Amino acid sequence: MPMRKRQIIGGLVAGALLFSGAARAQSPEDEWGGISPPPAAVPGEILPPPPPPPPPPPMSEPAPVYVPGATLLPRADVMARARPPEERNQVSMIAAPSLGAGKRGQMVLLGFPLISLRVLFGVSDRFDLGVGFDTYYFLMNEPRVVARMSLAKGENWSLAANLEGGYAFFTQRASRESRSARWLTGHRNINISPALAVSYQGSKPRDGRIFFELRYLLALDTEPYATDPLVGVPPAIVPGHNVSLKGGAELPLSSKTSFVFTFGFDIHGRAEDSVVMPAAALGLVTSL
Amino acid sequence: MNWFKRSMLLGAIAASISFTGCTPPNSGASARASGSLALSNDDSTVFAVDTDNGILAVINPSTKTVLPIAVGKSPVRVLVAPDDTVFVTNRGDRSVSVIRKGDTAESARIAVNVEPSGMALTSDGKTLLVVSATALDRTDQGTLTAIDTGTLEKKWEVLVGEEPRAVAIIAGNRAMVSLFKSGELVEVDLNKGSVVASQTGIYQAVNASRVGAGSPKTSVASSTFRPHAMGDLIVTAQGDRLFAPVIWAREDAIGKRPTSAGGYYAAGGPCNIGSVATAGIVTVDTANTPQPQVDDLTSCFTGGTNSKEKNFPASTLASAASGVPTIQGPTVGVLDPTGTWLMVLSRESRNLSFMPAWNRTGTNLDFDKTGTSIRAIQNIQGHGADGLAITADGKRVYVYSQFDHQLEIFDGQGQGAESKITTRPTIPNIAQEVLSPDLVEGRKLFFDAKDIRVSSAQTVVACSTCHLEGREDGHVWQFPDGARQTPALAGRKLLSTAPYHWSGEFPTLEAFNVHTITQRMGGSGLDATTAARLDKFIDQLALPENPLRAAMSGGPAELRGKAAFDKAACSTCHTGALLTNNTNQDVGTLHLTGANPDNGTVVRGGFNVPSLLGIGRTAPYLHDGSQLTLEERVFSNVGDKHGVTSTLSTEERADLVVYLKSL
Repeated sequence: MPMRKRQIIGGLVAGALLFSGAARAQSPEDEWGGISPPPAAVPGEILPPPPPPPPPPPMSEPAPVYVPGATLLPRADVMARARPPEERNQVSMIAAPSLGAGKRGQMVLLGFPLISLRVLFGVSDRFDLGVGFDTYYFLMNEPRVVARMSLAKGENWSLAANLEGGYAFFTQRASRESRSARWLTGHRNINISPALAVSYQGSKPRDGRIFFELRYLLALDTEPYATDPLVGVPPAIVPGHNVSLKGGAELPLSSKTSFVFTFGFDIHGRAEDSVVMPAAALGLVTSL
Repeated sequence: MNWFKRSMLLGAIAASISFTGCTPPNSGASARASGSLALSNDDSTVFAVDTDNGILAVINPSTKTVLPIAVGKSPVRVLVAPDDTVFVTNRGDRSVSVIRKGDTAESARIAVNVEPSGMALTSDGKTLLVVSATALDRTDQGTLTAIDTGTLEKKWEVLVGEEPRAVAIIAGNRAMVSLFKSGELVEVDLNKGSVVASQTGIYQAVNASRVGAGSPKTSVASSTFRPHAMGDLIVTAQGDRLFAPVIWAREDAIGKRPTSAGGYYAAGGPCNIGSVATAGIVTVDTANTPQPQVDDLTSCFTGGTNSKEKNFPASTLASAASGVPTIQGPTVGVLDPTGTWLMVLSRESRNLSFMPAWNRTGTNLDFDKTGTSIRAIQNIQGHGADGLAITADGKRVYVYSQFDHQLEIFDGQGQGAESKITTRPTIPNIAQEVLSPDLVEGRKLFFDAKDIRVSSAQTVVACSTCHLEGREDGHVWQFPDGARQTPALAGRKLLSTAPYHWSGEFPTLEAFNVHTITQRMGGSGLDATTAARLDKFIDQLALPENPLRAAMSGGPAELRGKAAFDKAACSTCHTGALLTNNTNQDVGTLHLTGANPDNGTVVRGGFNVPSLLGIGRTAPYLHDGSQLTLEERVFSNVGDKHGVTSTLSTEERADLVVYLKSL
């Protein structure tokens, strides 16, 4: 299949996958139940008088008698109406916990050097599979396949293995690029990236989930060039080895949505790349 | 649509766009040899043409055996076709030799025009393009000839401009032809066999701040530069970019006093890099309309000016960086098989420079700090180097030196920080020495910019830097005594034309040598014996071939022209075999006012009458190059101060012009 055709199909597939997940997403406000606003008045129209308020529900128990000095407790039915019980946020995209069978999560990260999108599906309770897209501000564009396997799990902690692989499209050939996408990211045309992630989350429903990730990146360069005069024609594919260490946290905003930040650094193994590159990102994780 | 949905949609759209449009074209193999060297397709055989001997040397680099094959007179370039057929341009006898694979003798010889040199093959190998310096019926236009490689018949031919030298095939079934003296490129449509554009605007681009579009910038250097000596073209495998080695010649006034840095030719290169004639490289992107990618030499470009945004080599090959040898006299170049590294061979400085073809900042290279995009320089031993080839594995380079008739070999070793270039044993005696020892030494001196007897370490110019190939460069220098065009030397019998200089202020060659070598070039000077060898070499240089000379000899056109020549009293001064009476004459061309007025001897006695031999190929004319053609010279002689041309009819003037072109 010609390169251009593959690019078009790849782009459409990635776009369709991303869009299909997004199309069903609801506004975060929807989670709090529908309090519909009153219909808007049409200019000149006389609105009918509002209906009389419904009669108050009958009391299930007699009203408590006030006793000076005693602790006042709200009634149980009042508590139930005022706030639903908080559900623990277990939607993790970048930390260790798997999503769970049949569940789905999305993530968008805006950072340096990469902007990242991820969509994961829970294939089983311990295994997630999905797709992603990384870009160095569109100078490098890399659709990815992502897999995550939960290796161990405690009440508050998790350990998972992660494997990502992708093909990167660069706007410049390697030989013509100078301190740009390749130099910054260590990525090359084909990137295979296993990782181990461990995370900890407190017991309270809105406790943040902190994580650390150790990642290895095998970057296969399919357009290597002679980095020095008269060193010869390089082989068709040249591997490069990189390591990254990142930490961060997913901070729940609700049971399904978290604010996420990461910070760390990449260590690049190629002589022609930056030796160490800090990496940071901010974003959102959601299962909506 | 909420924010999340929108963001996902935008991401998908961006991904689709980027996937479909972001991958640049692939790099393939590029031409691996240039000039007097070529390699067989399997790299097992090196082909070198030896100009002095008129041979194609078939060299086995493993066994160091050499098989000479006689070709035409003065062969200069060799090209190997995909089927290992070898083509050789014979500059001295208007022909291209053909040697089929396995043959030990010339298979055929194709007649072309005058002084053929550059060649290129179309991608299908079916058409050979040959550049000739002049057509058969005129001296002011050269030709590009297309030859069917199967039948060896001429397919078409087109005039391409004055003194064309090299040709390269670019994308879109087009070719670019270099004009040696004017340093420009001519674009030719190979489908139609016609010229598409006669220039690319190199001069305007390198002098943009002074002569380009828009108002001049305020903080610019005072100099403008003109390219010349464009003798080779190096093209990428895709034909989307080419490189042309040149010499940048300074156009404005040159300092009036010798500098402490060694002669007043030393100061005044682009942004004070190099000498008044500085080696350079022109990059041209040719994917659509050819666009020069060059630095603006009139606004100093060194020292942190967006080098990361410039994806082409710095336009000067001389370097401001300490410890980097200066480069002079670039002759030919090649790209390595990956298309990453550009190599330029410089004859006068005897070195090989390596630079990235697509950037000027990278590993061990930072233009902003060093002021050069040259990554490495390899010195060579041989004189007269004009052949360069690199093997398909990109690890070995061959260099052929015409004056020493030897093949030097350099191998790359290691990778990254461990990489280095090692010198292998030279293969000597590729061809015999046919010149006398005096001429051998004289020639080496003439073309050597690193011999401190002739040129200081700061100046690094050779006689041949301006007297290209012993001829001239068509450049007008703003010297302290006024504007002076480089005079042609070849064929004008130096030893018989005293006094010397346009001003004729040097009665002897010895005085002339002392002044030029020590005062201008900064050399320590030559002893009498050595100077005599140099002079002897210059004296015996052959007159450039002129197709009209033989064609008109004894014919009616020559008789009519000679009669007009005598009638206009040209022969009063331009007399004898050399067409000069070796005196000074005021012919009304003095400039006593203006930015750089004539001064000194000429004010009293006028200019030294030059020989007219070969003037059909030495445009422009007069000491200041103020008349671009011989027609202009003859038809605009106001006041009859330079010949009594008013006595000639229009027809007689036309006859005179033709006659002059035939001299």
